[in-house]
Amino acid sequence: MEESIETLAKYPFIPEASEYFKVKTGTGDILLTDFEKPEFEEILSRAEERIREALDREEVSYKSKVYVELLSFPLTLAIVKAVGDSFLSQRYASAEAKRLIKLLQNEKSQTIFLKIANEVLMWKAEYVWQKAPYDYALSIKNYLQIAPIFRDRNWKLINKPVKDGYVYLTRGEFTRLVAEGIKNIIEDELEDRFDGELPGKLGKIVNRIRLLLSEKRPKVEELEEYKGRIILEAFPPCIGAFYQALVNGQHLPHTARFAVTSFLLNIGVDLGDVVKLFTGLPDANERITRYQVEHIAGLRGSKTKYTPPKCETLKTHGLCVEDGKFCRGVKHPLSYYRRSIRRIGRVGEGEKSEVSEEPIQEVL
Amino acid sequence: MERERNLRFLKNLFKRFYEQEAPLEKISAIKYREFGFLTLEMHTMIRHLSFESENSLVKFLSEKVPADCYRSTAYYLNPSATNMGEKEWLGADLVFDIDADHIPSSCKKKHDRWKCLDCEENGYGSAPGACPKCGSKRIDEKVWFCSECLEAAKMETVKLLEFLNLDFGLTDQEVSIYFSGHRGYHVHVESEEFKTLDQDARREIVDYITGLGAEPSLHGLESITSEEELDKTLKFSAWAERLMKNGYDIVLKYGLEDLLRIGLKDKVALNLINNKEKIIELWWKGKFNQIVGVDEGAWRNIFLEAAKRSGVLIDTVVTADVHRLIRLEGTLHSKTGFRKIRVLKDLDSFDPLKEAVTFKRGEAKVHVYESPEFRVGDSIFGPYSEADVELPISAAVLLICKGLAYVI
Repeated sequence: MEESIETLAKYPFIPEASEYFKVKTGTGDILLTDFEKPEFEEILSRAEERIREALDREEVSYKSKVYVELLSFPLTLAIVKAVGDSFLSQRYASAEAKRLIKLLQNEKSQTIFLKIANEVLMWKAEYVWQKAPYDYALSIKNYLQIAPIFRDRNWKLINKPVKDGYVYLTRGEFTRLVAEGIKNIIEDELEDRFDGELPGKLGKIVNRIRLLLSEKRPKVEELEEYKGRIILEAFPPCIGAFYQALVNGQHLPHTARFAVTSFLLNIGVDLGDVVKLFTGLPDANERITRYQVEHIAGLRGSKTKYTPPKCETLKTHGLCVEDGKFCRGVKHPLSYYRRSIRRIGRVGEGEKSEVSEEPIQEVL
Repeated sequence: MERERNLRFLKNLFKRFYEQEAPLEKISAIKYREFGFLTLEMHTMIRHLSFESENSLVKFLSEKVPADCYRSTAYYLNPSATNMGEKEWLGADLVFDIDADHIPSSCKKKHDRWKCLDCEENGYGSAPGACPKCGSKRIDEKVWFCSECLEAAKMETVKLLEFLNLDFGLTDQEVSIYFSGHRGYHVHVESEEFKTLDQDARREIVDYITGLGAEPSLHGLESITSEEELDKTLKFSAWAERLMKNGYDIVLKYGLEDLLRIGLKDKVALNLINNKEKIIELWWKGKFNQIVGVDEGAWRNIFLEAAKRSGVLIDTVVTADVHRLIRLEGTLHSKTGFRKIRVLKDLDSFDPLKEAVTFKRGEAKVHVYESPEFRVGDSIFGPYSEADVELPISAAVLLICKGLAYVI
């Protein structure tokens, strides 16, 4: 179906929009120097504005000059890529997603929803108006590609109407999922960095954005290095319980062993000391234990240093203590530890390592 | 000496099995799977292996005669690479493990044993948290399995299959059921729909199937007002249907003590019991909640209990893991001498202690240290204590594999 220029301006990521870009400019490849021409001035300034809006208000607006709105989108992507900053990329993608939510809220027909879902995101989605109170049905697979990052229990698959491979959703829920899907697509696109400097006016925009970024970037709290000591009272309840079990020589399930081991290594406890902890267990074998602990420490195999599972994962495996009621909403055992260390007046910081939750492979 | 004799005995049997019975069914995308094996002698793991075809795999098995054979549920571009990064993960089947070990059943009191490693105190049933005599927490467990716990595992598998079919819309062709060769069942789902899901998505599936995080009010059941509204809710929600069915059961069967246990107040529980027949009558008309004195909070507790009863006791780690190695279908289990075998027909009538039996010809003389009563095929054996007995080979192998006997 032919989309109106207005639709393309609102939803510049749909396939016809990039076609339009080519037609309008007469060629598939615009030279970077073309942007020096006065006719591009307005588009350039809207592109810069899109980024500024993302940084200032965390939301890109919709402006009714449709050509400018449409053509500035790919240009904005090029500028963000050239800036090459992952904070900016994420902020911009999420600000575009908010723009999308607002625009979709004002749509009357389901056509554009289905177009974005099925043709841009490549989902399996249907409009199910006759099945009120639901408006859309989305395949479980697509739902699970997006929804697990929403933390409200309302989004848990188990609390959704599910039947025959589909999740039934209201229009509002579907909008949120679509926007998140588009945010991911924009983020992926921005991953493909542009190395080298942009010339002329574009280069100046990049420089201005970099300057602005240095003000807007959230300040990471500088924490003094605190390593190697075990401050038991700062442990989250789950890890504290696993640790006690180890000290008492009690049996611990694999996931719990993995959690406490990676936790201790991440707060800087010496590898040898961690191995020693396991030697009191009924099935202790120092050689195997050392191998496994070294694996988790990133000294073997894939060389990935593992972090403990996040709280959600511990819940799934039945290892969370009293549904986290002592944890005041933290999402990760290491965050709990850092937070309590700060609270009890000593400064600590677990090592930031590559985030990976894959435990050593175990077999059945 | 005894250990070596056992080892030789098992090695001969296992070798003959892999040489002569060519037991493997077709493994989908075999070239993209990683294989791993535990050796009989040292019980060490050899992994990161790959095979071009079932033929080369069978040849390997007959030459090396492993104790246990595994393959990845994942597909890799380079399955024999030694680290995950280089393997290049392409996707993974969705797998479920249901193990009798995780399912409470009364037979455990009869056949499971524990022993304190400090004071040698011992007893029957699941191991206590601490030794009742000396308080030590270092406790060794010896678990057995019987028709009863295998039946309990089968019932859980039936529940799981209903989820896969009704909720996930999977067809029989996409779902394969196996007896694991020991204490339970493995269910393999090979479907493009689920192949590329990551760990977080799989964890959501685990929570969905175990019932974790269910919030009945989000299904709106306790505040439903009419049959029409109920029908509409049930039409699109398999979980709502499950909650209603189990809720019905709870109202019908739970006595005062049970109702108090799940958090109902005395008065409310009594109101519920007194109005049981009326509630049952109104249940599927969507008006069960209109009984005065049974409030929304009470219904929420009842549906929470219903959620607990509806969930399936799967091993949560196995399903969430996208790099899992799982026992290779058709191969022997070194703790029993049985085979991991596909349930081809009706699961209800499947008898694992008959159909997974591999060694059927001949007898063997063994000395049994101690064993509970057990069944293999149609025959019952034991209990034995420090006895020399001649047994059909499958029963002898089971005891040897379990470490309860040696060949004489």
